[in-house]
Amino acid sequence: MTYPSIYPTGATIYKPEKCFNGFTVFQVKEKGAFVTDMNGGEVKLWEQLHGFPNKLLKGGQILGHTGERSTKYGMQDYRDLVQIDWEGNVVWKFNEYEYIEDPGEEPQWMARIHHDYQREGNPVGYYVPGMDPLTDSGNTMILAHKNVNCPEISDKNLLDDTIYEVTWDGEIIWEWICSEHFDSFGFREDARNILSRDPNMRPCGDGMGDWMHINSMSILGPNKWFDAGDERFHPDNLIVDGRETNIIFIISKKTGEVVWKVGPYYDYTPEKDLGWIIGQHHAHMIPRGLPGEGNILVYDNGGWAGYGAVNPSSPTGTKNALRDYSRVLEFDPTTLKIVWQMTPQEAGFVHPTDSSRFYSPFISSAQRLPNGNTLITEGSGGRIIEVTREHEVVWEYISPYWGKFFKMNFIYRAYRYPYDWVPQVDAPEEIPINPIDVTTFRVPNAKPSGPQSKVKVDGTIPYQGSTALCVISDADDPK
Amino acid sequence: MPFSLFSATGCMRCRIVKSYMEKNNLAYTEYDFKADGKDEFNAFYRKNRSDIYRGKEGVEFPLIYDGEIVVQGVGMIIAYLMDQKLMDGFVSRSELSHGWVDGLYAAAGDETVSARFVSLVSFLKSSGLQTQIETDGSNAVVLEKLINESLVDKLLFYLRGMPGSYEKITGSAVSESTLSQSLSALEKCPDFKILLELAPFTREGDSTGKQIISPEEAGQAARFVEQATGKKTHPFFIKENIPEDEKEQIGAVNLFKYRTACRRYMVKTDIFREN
Repeated sequence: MTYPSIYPTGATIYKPEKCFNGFTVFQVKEKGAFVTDMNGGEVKLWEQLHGFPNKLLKGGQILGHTGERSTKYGMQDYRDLVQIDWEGNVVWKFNEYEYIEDPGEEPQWMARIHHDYQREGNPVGYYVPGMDPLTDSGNTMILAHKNVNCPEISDKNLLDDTIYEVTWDGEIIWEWICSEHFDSFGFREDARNILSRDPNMRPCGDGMGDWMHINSMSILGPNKWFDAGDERFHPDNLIVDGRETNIIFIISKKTGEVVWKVGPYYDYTPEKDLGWIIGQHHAHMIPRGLPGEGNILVYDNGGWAGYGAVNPSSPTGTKNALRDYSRVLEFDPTTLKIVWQMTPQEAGFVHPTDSSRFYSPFISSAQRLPNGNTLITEGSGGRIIEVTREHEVVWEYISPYWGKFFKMNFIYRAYRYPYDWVPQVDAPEEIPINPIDVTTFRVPNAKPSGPQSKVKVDGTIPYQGSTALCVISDADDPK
Repeated sequence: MPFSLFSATGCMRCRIVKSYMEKNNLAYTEYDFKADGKDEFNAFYRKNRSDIYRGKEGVEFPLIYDGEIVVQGVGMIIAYLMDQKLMDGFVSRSELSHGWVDGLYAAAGDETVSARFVSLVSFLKSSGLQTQIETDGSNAVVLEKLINESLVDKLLFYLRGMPGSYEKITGSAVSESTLSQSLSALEKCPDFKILLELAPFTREGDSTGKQIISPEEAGQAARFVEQATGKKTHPFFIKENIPEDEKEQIGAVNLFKYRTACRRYMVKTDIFREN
């Protein structure tokens, strides 16, 4: 869709009385980890601290990484997970998952961490009343990479996803390896065929297939489903999602088995009620104590993902599901019924002709806030919004930072935390930001709208109410 | 009496056996299961099925029969033709296919026929097969000879623990110098893995029953490898090898603790997985 070349950045909308006011934490690639206030003031920068993602800990500490493995040899492999205090000191660090010897690089231990991690005490890494992550002890669950050979999937070198649990003292005590559960995912033969030939090959190293591409990992935590006797939702179980396969699934912590899933197909009951989830991010269970607790919240990107039947947009069957807009879905994991959503329609866009105004084909996230609002990172455009249950945008922020190497202002994932999590800073003044009226706003030297000369043309009739153009829209009745 | 040789059309291993027999003037009558020898083989199979191994892909060819004994598989057949049963410790059934042969144990046979074993491996290699050799580090001289003569394509080095544990675990002792000597030879191998096996044994003076080495002892074994080879980046794996009927007695094994202990000295240590 058309994107203006000139538009405001920073905080652009702020209605303090409707927001869950606090600090917002996010990673700016090539800059570091930022904490901003509700008016977009940059309260803190941990310079050059990588974050995939960054997460705040109570007391003004932050989690992140000291760097990324050379992209010649690794794909999104971060070297470590570090806990940094307000002054920039390393409080805790883990990197001893795999000893890496890349040509021309210093041999070193690496965590190979990517996309997510969770510190004990909090299941999801964002603010949950009464569930603060531990800061001076506790285990950490880490989503990571491991290169494996798994002929059942493909004869090619696979960049597999693993999850491991490491103690505060740096001992790994649990590990789960995705490829070992390939048969649990229910791929049809057409998907198996293209997976074996092209398991999403990436050009690093000598080539490796990032076949599943898990991009989020969290713990279920205490929940009403388990309390009612449903063992699939044991509080220790983990929920992850695979971007390349369109699958969201729950792993038994005890057995490693996949005990619940949606996808990879959404053309049969009950998944079909969800619509076809594509390339999704940040699927997690809303923790106990937050509105919607027990439901699954996910940023369903759209874009391109999946393996299966060939079609005109996918001559080989790879990335064969396409959609050019995003959705944020909250659904009941037992009935798979959507209970809340934010799609282009709720955002006020004519569907589908204007739907791609709500669209991030990669990254992105959704956080449920204590007041029932949802903090959405529409990542590719660097946009973070807080929306109410009624879909009103009560806060908006656009990242002003475009990368030197990666020329986008994208934000991987943002989190909102209460002010008191950063005791080093006084709660800032909350100044409303009324949305600019873009129909009248003009940049310097631009002339105001309004014709300088006007004439009525005889014989014309009024415009119609329909929004139909070359394609049908949601405002048209097909009957 | 000539040997009966049961073969299959297109079978590389059958050609290797025939070549050996012809070179050594050993008379045989061939029955090709995929051609006109099908009926003869089926009759032979029905009569001797308890002596014939069927793998995932069916019966493995070739087989020979001398009127008394059925011998199956290229390695075992040639070993038998060379020295009857003398090489039994060195050679067993091969599980590999597609141009590879295994079931060749550098450490397990009678040392007095070790030179013959080296000749056997040499013949298999010169016939176009790729060899996977296994060892536990004892009989270092044979291992060195195989490696020095480039007869090893892949080596699986089953470490049982520190040298002092070997006798309890395997039934035969190995000295530190022998184990060191074997480990030192590894680097000349084109492809190798060191597998630290966790197998049950009875500890001297301990009446509590069978156990496996502790994580700390595993770490010491890894340190021994580092000291013997001067390198800490070998492909090193922890492999659990506890028979089903002993698992209850041994109890749950936390392989991560073993991995952590070994990684202090062998930084690439991982838990062994098939594939």
